[in-house]
Amino acid sequence: MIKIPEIEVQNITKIYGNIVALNNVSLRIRDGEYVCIIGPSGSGKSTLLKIIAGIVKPTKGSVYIDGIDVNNVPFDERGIGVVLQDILLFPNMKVRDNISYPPLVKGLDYKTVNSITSEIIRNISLTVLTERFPDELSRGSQQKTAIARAVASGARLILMDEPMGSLDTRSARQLRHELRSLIKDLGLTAIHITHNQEEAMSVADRIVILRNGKVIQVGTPQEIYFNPRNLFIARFIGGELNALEGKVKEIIGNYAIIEIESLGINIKAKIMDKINIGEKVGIAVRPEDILLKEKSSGINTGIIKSYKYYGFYYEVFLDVNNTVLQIKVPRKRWFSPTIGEKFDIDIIRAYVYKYPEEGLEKAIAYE
Amino acid sequence: MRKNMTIAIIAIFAISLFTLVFLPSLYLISLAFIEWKQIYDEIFANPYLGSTYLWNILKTLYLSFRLALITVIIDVILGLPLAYIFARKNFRGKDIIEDITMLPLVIPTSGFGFATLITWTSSTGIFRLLGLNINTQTIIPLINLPFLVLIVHISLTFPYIVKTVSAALQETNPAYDIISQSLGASPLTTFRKVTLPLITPSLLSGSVLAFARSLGETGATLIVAGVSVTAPIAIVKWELENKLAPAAFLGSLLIALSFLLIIPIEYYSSQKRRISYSLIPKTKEKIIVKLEKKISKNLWWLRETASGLLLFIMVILPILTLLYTTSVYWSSEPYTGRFEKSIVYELFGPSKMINLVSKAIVTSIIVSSLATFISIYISIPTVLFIVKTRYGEIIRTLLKVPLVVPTSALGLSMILLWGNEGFNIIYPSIWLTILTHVVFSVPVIVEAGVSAYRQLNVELYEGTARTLGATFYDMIETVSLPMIKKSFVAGSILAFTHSLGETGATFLVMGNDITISTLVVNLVESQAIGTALFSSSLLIIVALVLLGVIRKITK
Repeated sequence: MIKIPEIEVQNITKIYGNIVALNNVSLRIRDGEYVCIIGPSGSGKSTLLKIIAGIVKPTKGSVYIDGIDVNNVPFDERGIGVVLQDILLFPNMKVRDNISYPPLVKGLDYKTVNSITSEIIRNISLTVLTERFPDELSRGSQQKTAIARAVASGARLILMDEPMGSLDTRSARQLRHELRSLIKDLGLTAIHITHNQEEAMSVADRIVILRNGKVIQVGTPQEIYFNPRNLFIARFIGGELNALEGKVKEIIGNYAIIEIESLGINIKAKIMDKINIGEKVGIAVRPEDILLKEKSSGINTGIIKSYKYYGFYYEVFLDVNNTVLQIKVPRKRWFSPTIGEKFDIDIIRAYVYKYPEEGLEKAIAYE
Repeated sequence: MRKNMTIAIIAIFAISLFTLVFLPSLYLISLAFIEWKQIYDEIFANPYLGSTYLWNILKTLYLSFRLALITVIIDVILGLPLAYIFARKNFRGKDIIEDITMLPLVIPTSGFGFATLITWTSSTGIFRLLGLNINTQTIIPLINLPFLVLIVHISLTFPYIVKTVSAALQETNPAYDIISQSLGASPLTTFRKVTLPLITPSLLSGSVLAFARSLGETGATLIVAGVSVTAPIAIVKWELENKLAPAAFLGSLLIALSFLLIIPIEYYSSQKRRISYSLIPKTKEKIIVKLEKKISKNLWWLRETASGLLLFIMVILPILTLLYTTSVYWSSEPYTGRFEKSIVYELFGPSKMINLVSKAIVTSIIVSSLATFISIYISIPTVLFIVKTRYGEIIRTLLKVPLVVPTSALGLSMILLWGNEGFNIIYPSIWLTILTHVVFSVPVIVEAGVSAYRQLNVELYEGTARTLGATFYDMIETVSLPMIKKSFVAGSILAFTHSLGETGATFLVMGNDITISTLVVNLVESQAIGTALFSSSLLIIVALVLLGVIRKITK
């Protein structure tokens, strides 16, 4: 049985000059897990990866692999494979030589090197490509080779920094699933860094969200989507958001009735922070959680200001009492919007938070 | 009408480029074929001397090629660590150290040769103090090469390796190093297996430049050679003794052989292909890898120390020693303290050396200014021709020819081409010197212009100018030329310093109009050490100032 490491990051702080890149980050990654670290640019995700890999030393805190503090273990002895955005297969070596590189440079004898290499090539089904140079491979095969090379170095934990690089959306979508199955088939643990929430949602067992050097939420994609811990996450996971201001009218268990003055309506929203009756609150409503009704009855009515067509849905900007709501409307037989047309709305899911000190705009900004 | 004008202009330009730049480099070789009968009679079947000339020719060629080869090998070994430091490390004063490294490329070689000579052999030099008894007769055993000549050649050529390799290293992704190390390789293994193959093309073209420079080096070699005769020196000597046939034959052999060696390497390294090789059989890797691990762990300090020592001994020490010696000798001789042996006495005393020196300075200034001026006029259309036409790359490649032709062979070629054996228009004098300097100044300026044009993406802006309604001439005048102006000026100053320091060709073509850098050689040979010190210091200070100006312009 191969021992797969468990990674624990404890109270990691990293300061560059007077910039705090990471602020007291703690994290635990389990055996064989596929974890995505996600955050806007400058959130500290690459720094965290480099600290786990040992390329950068933390200012404070420790990294444990299998319960052992590895702060003073140099990065070539941590048993971690790193795959960066540019993949970085050695361009002057064929696929086979790239894979045999780690055992060779560790000073194993020629026979052992050969048998290790052959076994990995067979496991990752790269046999037909072994005599090619990296620039003759597709991006997917390059990535496979990079992972094979990392495995050949004895790594059981693979760290990937933006592995999709600048690939176009369609190829990236296909590739990321291939990548996940390869890692799962080999029984490896993986940390995958991305800025793309859709990518993270579709491949991760668990997602870690970083913002301004802090971990703001950890959970499975479903947990995070259905329980965004703050307004920013509600926007970041899902893409777009209507952030509104309201007042608490009534609290019923986990839910609250909120009066939204600007729209002139009351809605039911899930309580995410501790709130009191009568308090001013922030409300998150996703564009896909607002329904348009087929016939307008004159209650909760808005006027279409503009719309965009995306094939399988429309993005509609609806003016309700001078507040513009963004709504995603799936393609329906009866719905072909025209500007100025009136519709009633129904808000089916909303989240309520304490009103952010910095204001709604800033609270959801990507910075 | 206008079309005819254009064709006429292009024709004039093409003819002048051909006659002024290409023809001299190639004339000598063709001469060897044309005058084969005469050469055969004099060299192979000389009625008085038999084949003595032939043996001498072969001997000097053998020495020169051996010298160049060993110089390049040592350059690579010493230059690689320095190039690596320049490309990958950041530290205070890096700019200055980089400048110091490039000094040997701009300092007049005869002055630098003299500086090296006094550093190693004179009583004011440090090695005499250390008890090392070295002189121009000192031969290194085993490789059987004159010690001081080898030292000077290394000093004058290692910057080519450092320059090209560190530029190539800067272009390779440093993350390869990190990846390789994370896979368990020691820094040395990483360098051998990953970095070295990536920079091989640049290493080769740097080596070619260094090799060509060593093969053609005359100015410094004349000063430190003692009794050793390298091929370029033989050409100078024979020409001055009016033994034209062996000089011409040796010159054409030198040119032909350097082409045979350089062109395949240039071609190989210019191909954009993967260079994949392995220096060691895979079954032996284990031992080497372990050794590299040990060295990386225990001898890491060697890289910095070796680089520092190289710079200090090869570049800084000679310059400092020269300036120091000049100051000590200024108004008295160090041992006796007598004023009659001082620089001031030699310059202004009864021998009035100052007249000779100032005349040489004036000649040099005229030569360098005019040669640079003419070269600029030829270079501007050449740059445009190279970047704007399909055949441009051929011209660019051909322009490398004058850079690898040994300068003394070039000088001989100039005499035979323009003098009374050839066109019979210009005889050895200041004018022939100017024409000779044009030959190697044009490539320097053109290369600066072309590489700036490519690097700054001028073509893109030109396209924009054209879409905004500019004519071709508007575009050249308002966009292309202004954008590359800075590099052009820097290239021109570089050409000026080359011209100021050129010795090998100038020796042959100058006639009675002695330039300052050739004067240094004469002064050393005639034991006028005081004046030689003064002139060398002057040349080096001027070169330093010009280097500073280049820095300021290109910043």
